[in-house]
Amino acid sequence: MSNAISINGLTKQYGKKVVLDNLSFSVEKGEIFGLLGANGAGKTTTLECIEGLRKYDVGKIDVFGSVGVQLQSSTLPENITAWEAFKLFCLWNNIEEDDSLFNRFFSLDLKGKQYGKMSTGQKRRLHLILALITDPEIIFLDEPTAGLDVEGRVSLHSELLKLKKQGKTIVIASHDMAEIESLCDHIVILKSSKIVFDGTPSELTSNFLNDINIYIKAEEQISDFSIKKSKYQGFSKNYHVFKTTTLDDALLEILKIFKEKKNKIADIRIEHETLEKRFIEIASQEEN
Amino acid sequence: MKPFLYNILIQWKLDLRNKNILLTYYVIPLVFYGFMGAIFTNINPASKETLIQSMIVFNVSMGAFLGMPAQLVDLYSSDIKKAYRVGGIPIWSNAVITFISAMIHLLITSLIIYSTSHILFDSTIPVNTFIFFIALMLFIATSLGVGTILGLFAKDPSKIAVFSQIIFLPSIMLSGIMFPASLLPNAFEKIGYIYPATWGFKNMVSSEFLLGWISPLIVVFSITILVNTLRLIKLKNID
Repeated sequence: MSNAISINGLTKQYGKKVVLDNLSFSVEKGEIFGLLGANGAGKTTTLECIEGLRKYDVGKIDVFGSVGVQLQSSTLPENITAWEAFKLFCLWNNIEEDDSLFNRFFSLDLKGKQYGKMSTGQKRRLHLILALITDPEIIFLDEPTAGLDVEGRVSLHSELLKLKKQGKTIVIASHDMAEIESLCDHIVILKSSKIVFDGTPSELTSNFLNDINIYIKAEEQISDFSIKKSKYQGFSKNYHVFKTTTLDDALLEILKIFKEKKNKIADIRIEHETLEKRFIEIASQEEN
Repeated sequence: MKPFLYNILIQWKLDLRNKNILLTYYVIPLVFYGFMGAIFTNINPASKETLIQSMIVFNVSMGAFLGMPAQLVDLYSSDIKKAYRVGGIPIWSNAVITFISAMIHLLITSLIIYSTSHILFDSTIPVNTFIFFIALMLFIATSLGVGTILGLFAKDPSKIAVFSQIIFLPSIMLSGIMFPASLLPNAFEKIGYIYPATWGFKNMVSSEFLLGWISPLIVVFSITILVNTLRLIKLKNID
C-alpha cells in the first residue's frame, strides 16, 4: 500500500524549546491513523505542520492527496447560520452546495441555526461537514468527538468507517483511547515532543507485557497457589485475581487447582489490557 | 466573483443580526443626529448650515473607528481566521468584504441624514452636490482605511476600544463639527489636521474642489492601502 503522508525528521522549536523532536512516521493510504499524546505532547503542532498551517524548522513532509481539515480550535462568526457557512465554504471552493453531505451530519431542520446558538456537538459536526466539502482524499480530525453525546459519537464513528471504506485516509488526534482503539489501524504516540510508539493498537497492547487479568469467584477463598502459567495477585472483592500473558494455559492450570480442591467456581471474568492503560504506562515509564 | 458577492451578502446579514453593529452604524448616529437637529439648531441656528456635514462626519467616524475595527479583531485575532484558511477562503477577503460592507452601511446612514435634514430641521443643502458626494466617498474610504489598520493590528478586543477612542474623540472634538476649529487653541487646531475628519468636513462643506484640502485624504487613504496590504500579506504567512 502506498503512503498518503510521509514525515521525515520533523523538528520544530519555539525559541530554545523543542516542541517536535525529529519525528518520522508515515500514514498509508486508506487507513485510519491515530495521533496520541498527553496535552502539550505536540499532537496539534504536528497536525498543523502537516496541514500547512504552521512552519517547521527541519525535516520533510510529503502529503499525497487533497486535504480536508477539522481543527480542534475552530470557530465561525457567532451569527452565521449552518447553511450560510456551508454555502460560503462551497462557493469559495467552486463546489455546488449539496444537501446530502449537509444532511449526513446535520439535520436540515437546523439549517437556519446560528453558530453561536449551536451545541458543542453541532459545531463539531458543522466543522466536519466543512472539512468534507471538497471530497478530500485525506481528512484530518483534531479531537473529532470532543463535546459529542453518545449518539453523536456512535454516528460519527460509523461515518468515519464509511469514509474509510470509500478509500479515504483519516488522521485523528484524540485523547479518547476507546475511540482510537476501536477506529484506528495505526497509531503513533507522542511523549515530550518525541515518538514513543509507532504501530497498531493491538501491537501496543501485545508487544509490551500483554497482561491479561483472570478474576475467579469461588465458594471458598484459597491463598495457597502453586502455579507456573500465571501469577496470583491476591483476593479482591470476592475474586481471586491472576495475571498472565498466556490465557489458555493459565486458565487450565488455575481451573485444575480449583477442581482438585473441590472449590466450586461461581464466576470467571477475563480482562485484557486496554490501550488506555498501556498509554498511561508508557507515559509514566517515560517520566520515570 | 460569485463567492465574493455571496460573502458580501452574508457579511451584510451578519451585520444586521449584530446589535453592536446596528448601534454603531445606525442607532447611535441617527439618534444623535435627531437630537442635534432638534435641539442644537434651535440653540445655535447657524449650525443648520453645516448640520448635514457635521452629522455625517460623526456617523462615519463612529462606524469606521468604533464599529469596523472590532469586527476585524473578531475575524483576524480568533480561530475564525484558521477555519477560513483551512476552508479555502482567502485571508484578504474578510478585510475587503468588511470594508465594502461598512462602506455601504455608512453611505446609507449618510444618505438618510442628507435626504431628511432639510425637511426635518431646515438645514442647508450642500451647494455643490457632486463635490459633496466625491468628498463623502473619499472621507468614508479614508476613515475605513484607518479603521482597517486598527482592526488588523490589534490582537485584543479590549485594547481596540482604547485605540479607537484615541482616534474617534479627537476626530469629533478637533475637526470643527461641534464648533468652528478656529475657536480652538492654535496647537489643537493643528493637531486636528492629522485627522481625516477635519479634511472630510472641510471638503464636504466646500462648494469648490480644492486640491490642498482633498490631497490629505488621498495621501492618508493611499498610506492605509499600503499598510493594510502589507499587514494582510504578513497575516497570510503561516507562523
